[in-house]
Amino acid sequence: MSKVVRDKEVCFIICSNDRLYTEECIYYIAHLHVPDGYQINVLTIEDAKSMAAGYNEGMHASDAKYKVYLHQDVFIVNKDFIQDFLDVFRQDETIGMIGMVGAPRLPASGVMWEGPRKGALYKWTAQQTEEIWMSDDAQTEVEVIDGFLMITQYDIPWREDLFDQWDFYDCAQSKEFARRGCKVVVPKLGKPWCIHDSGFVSLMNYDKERLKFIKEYGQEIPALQDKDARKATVILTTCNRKVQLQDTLEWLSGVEGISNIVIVDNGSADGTADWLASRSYEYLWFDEGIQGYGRLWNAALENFATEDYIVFMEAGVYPEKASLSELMSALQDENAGIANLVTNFYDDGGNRITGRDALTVFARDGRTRHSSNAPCRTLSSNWRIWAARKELFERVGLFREELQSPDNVLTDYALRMIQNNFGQIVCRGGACAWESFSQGEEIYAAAWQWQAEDRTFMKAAWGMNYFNLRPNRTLVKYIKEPSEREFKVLEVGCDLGATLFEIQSCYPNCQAYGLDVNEAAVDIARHIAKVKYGNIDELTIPFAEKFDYIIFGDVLEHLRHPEEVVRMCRELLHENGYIIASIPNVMHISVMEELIEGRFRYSDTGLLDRTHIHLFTYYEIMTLFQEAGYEVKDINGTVFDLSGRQREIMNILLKLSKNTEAWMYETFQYTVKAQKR
Amino acid sequence: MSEQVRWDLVLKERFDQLLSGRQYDEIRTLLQTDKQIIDEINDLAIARVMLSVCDQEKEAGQQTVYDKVNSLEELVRRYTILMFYLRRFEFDIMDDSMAAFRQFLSMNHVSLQELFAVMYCGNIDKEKVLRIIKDKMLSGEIVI
Repeated sequence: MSKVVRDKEVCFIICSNDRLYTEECIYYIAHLHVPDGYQINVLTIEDAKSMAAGYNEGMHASDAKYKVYLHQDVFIVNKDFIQDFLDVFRQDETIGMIGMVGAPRLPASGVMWEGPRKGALYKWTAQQTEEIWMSDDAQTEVEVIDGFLMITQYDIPWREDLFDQWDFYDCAQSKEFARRGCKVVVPKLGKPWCIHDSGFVSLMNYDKERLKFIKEYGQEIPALQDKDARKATVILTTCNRKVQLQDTLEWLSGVEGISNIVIVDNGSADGTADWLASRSYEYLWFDEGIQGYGRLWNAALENFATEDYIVFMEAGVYPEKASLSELMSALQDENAGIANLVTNFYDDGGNRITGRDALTVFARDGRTRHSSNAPCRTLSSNWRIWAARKELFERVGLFREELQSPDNVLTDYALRMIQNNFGQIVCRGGACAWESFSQGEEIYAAAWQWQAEDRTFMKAAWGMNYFNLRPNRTLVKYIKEPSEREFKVLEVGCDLGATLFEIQSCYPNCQAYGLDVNEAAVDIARHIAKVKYGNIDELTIPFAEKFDYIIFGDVLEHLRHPEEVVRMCRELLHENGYIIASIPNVMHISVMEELIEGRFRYSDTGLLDRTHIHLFTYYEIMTLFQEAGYEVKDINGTVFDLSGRQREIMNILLKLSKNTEAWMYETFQYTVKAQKR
Repeated sequence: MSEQVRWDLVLKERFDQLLSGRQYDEIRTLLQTDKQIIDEINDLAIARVMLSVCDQEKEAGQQTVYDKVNSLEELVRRYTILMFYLRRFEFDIMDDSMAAFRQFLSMNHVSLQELFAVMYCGNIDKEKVLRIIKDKMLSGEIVI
């Protein structure tokens, strides 16, 4: 370690190429409280060759014991920042470096954001500023920290010899401290200590730098060492998609963690069988026409030797190269039965993601959008690629061959798993892109028939017509709590518990309760939360607890006494507790369009679902909550594009009334957050 | 990967061309063509935020923020400085910058719509900043 010269001095070292940002960064530094007897100074390194080179220049130019290396777009808002980090260093001399965000265990890919992280920050993109919480329960020793702000008490040279760009200098420095026996920690922050105006980050040289990092430090990354010990059997299904099969197999040759590939050809007539016969793959060809997936997957399991981990996937799916390893890591959790990947089909806003490059961005953003990067529990599976431990099949059994459509086969299996106390998770450390079924139309045709037959079987097996497996994320986003906080949520009409699952994933210390009138759904949901049978319309619930949030996702309109129920909830809520609700808008222009033609047709689902007993407009919703003793803190709406005719009608209606505005006709569904007064 | 950099430069250059010709309809088309690409180019994402400001200013019969700048760089700089000032309010470190802030608002003809849009995008505690701005407007410390 370098000689310590001034042990009561703190030097802030900034690599700068933007005067405006650097001055703002320094402005915040100038407003920090400086502990008695301490001095601070700031060094800016203009137009450094690389981050590591710039930081070495700063390090050599300063004699300060404590050095804060920060990006020019980082603004320290914790005024006691200096005292706070000094306290951390003083408690343990072996702590060499402190970060604001770090990874306790770096994923095998070497990409920090692909795994769980600790810490917090305020982050700005051009769209908005938000508080990002990874986790902040206690000071944590981490494997690597994020480079936007790094504080050291010992001088260790930065690896400019290896990292000549702007990535991985931070992970490398963390490893250099570890090599010298020093700990790297993320302290308990309380509130974020800084803002990071990173905007959109270019990953242009990222992978090149990643490979350098893996080469240099691979032996010192535990996850990488573990990963090498785990291998999976891939069961790859296809039907008349020879070209995509060939493309997928070529792609899989670069994917880590595969032991063997078993190809299941579902009756292809496009020469797939001939092509496979001339290759060395293990394969199974169904020559008696297209088979349902229950039979297909069972045949693969029964006819081929498999590894401890099995990945089921379709031709035309392209997993990120470290994804299968991440799936296997996620399945280390003994409660995890099935692991899924983040997919490119839809993002959270329902937008279709296309292209493998977009996949990378989507996967990364998908990970950072969540307060925790730990594998997320879920009810819905992506049948196009999923993985399970082999022992699962020994404990739960094989697939039901009566079921044919792959989504139904997997849904049924997932529900059976839940009954055996196994969960499903989405592994945020990996992502996959998949191409649509532009070929293999025979499967499409078969799937239509399968769905009808499967529905009958599923209804008989589970006593339900419809399987609500997707969480209502719009409602979950209204819960604003530090990720570690303990609080209680009750969801009325929780069905199978998908939304409660999502809440528990985002807030591990949240106690989730559910209530539903469907006994079959309760029977499943009680395995994932404290769910009981009950009808809130009877103005009683089977829980004695008080809650911080009560959720009604498309429920109030089904009740006979919504006003009384909402009023009763005041007694069930803690002081300042919230109701979060989604409620369809009967004033939506599609309804008005029908009405002026003299029609008001009920349907099985949607705005005019025939089970809706009460109908609401914006004003009725506001009245409902205000008269029941709540203050509406937030109300938003889901809107869809209107047709020309609808817009025309809306403009006429707007002229007829002074009390309505365009959004009242455009909003399909309202979401409300109302606080108990 | 280099393709992304070319797109970045091409689109920014195109924006500047359209701005210098005051071709606002074309700018709108450019910024709304591909949300995903625009979101990844920070400066253009800012320009899109400012486009909605323009719409509001136009509706109010005011000069628009696009009329007040000559390039994307100027637009982004203006946005960034405004955001920095508002943040200082949020984190209680505005102190002696108040005069500079007033001067910035006045010299750059910042509208209320622009101020609120930047506040919405740039601040965590929007309620706090809004309260401070309202108080300062009522007391005459800030004039827009």
